[in-house]
Amino acid sequence: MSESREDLERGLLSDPFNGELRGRYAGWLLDSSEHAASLAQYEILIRQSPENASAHVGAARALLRLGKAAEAARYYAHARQLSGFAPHEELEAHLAATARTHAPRLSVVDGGRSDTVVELAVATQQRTRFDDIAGLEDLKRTIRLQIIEPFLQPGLFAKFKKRAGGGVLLYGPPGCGKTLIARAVATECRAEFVSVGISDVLNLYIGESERNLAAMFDKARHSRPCVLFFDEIDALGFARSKAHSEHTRQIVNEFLAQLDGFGTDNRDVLILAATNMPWDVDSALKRPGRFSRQVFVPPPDEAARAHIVELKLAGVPHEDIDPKAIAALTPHFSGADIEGLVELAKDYVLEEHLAQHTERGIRQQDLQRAAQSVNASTLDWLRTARNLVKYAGADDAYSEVGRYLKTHKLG
Amino acid sequence: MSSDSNGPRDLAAIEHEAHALVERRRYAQAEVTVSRGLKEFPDSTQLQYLAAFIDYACDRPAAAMQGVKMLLSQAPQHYGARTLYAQLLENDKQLVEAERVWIDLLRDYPQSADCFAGYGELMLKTLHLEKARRLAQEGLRHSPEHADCLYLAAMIDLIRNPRGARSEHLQLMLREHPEHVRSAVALAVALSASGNNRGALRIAQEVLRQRPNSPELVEMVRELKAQTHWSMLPLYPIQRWGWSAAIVITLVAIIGLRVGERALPPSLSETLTWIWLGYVIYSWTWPRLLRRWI
Repeated sequence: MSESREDLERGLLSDPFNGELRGRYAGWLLDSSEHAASLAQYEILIRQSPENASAHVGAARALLRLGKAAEAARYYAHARQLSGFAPHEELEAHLAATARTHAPRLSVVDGGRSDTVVELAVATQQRTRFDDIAGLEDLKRTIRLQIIEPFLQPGLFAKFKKRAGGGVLLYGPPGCGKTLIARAVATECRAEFVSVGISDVLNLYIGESERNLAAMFDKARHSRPCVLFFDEIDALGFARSKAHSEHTRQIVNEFLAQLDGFGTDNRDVLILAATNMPWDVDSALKRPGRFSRQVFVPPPDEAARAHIVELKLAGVPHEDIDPKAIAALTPHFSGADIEGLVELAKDYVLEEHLAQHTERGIRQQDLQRAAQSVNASTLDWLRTARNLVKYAGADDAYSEVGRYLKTHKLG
Repeated sequence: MSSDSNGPRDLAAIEHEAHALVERRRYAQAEVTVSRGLKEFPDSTQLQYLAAFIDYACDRPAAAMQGVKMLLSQAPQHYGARTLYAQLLENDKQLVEAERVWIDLLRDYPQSADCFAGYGELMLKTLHLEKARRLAQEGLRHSPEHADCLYLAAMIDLIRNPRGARSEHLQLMLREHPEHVRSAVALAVALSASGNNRGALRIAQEVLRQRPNSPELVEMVRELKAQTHWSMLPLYPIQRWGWSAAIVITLVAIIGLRVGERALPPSLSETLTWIWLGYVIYSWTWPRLLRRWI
């Protein structure tokens, strides 16, 4: 501790991007047992230079002292893959101990017939497939043709001068499964899935948000084949003409640069984005080569709604429910709305149970009553889309919405 | 940067995030961020202001008013809260009180073009055109390219001279703020006032594409669509020259029918009278019906 805290802080105030100085400051905090503050500094350092091995080791040390051993192990494992990595004794010992405890756990299962030693299945991250998404068959067919197959069979599509990769924008009312579809696309493409939200990027310090965004793209490029998914892209790619702050405009500029891949290669990186406010997305992002393909994700159709009702009632006591009848009562309902409806029906049953002490499952009438109380949250969105299609003379990008509105007599 | 200063740094980060979300009109997310921040920093006036602003933006004026009053009781000089209070009063038709707030603001910020524009727009709403013009001019004296002052001045130019006289303010606004929605709206109004409804419609539609959830813009486009509908062609003189054209047409028709009574066969004269009556009924009813159907 040759340098004083004040010196280090003063130095960082005048030069906040001095990684070496921030590393020393974080180390000082760690040695002074200010573990949380030290971790915060190491995290800033990692965001500033994601390839800094010593910052990852430092963060792992801070996490270990904060009692977050699993996270510490993750940081340390990542640090090992970076150049300039120097092993740390305490963390090495901890990892070795963790490895021992994470060896396949064996247990004797009392099966009744014989004592059998079986290995317990390690919990794997459940991946969403297209088959897990109820209904929306037309949409799934479109996505398979436009997104998945070009990604899986680039050779075939190249013959027809069609390229894999690039960007696809999913848009539609909230709660209708855009994020779920993006996850399913990643699974079907047999690719890694990196999801980015606004909180992953936005940062108080000037230039930091752009760096975070670039780091997300780098991460996707390193894990190719990869699906890089931007949820609520209108927040990150907010139309510059509507933005008040220079900060917002700079993020969009960086986004455009990353999408164009200047000096980098976005091959085998499928960039997906979702928004429920496509009109707020900067128009430059929708130009060819960026998010040129725009796919409308409509509210679930009747078959899908019936399936969602079945899914939401699975494992919940219920009596003689006709999901198709409920689906017919709930036009334009989103998946989230149907979930709300089932929750309301549960409330009715529980209320009755508490008042009359009669235990019963959810009945058709409960769901029907709930359907009368819940309004489709998609209608607001559809009304706005109607303004766009009917009055604003919107371009081809919204033709699918126009067709949906006409089919459902909302136009 | 020490642990002691962890708090303020976190507050700044929360405020930054909330501001960014509000700017992007992600009010639901911003609300979550603000309420989370207020739990940790209940005394933050900026977060309190943002909470009130989100209520205002989400069309919850009562909650916004309550929030802003509470904030002003703690921080009576908070600039954002005072301007928001003035807006809320205006929307609630408490115009005298709103004017008092704007005057107070101008006393404290005598060089703020925002305040001049805000006060000027209130005067425009209450048809005090001369006062609004002077306020816009004063705002432009302090900040010559201020978008809201230019918009206000351009609107006053158009009201005073609707027949398409060149508005220097509008030209300056289009030059300095070409991407500003208000520039496009002002241009559409100017084109419509000068009889170029088709041009006005194209611009209004372009703006509506950017803001499809604006009821004012939808109404403007509907009106312009009705004006430019082919079935409105016989009403072109009235659309173009207004009441003076209507008076001229009526006089010509009356004189023409009188002369026709004497000079033409009775059946033809009667037919012409019916045609004239049909035109009068059509000119009164058709535009309204069309607007409803569009």
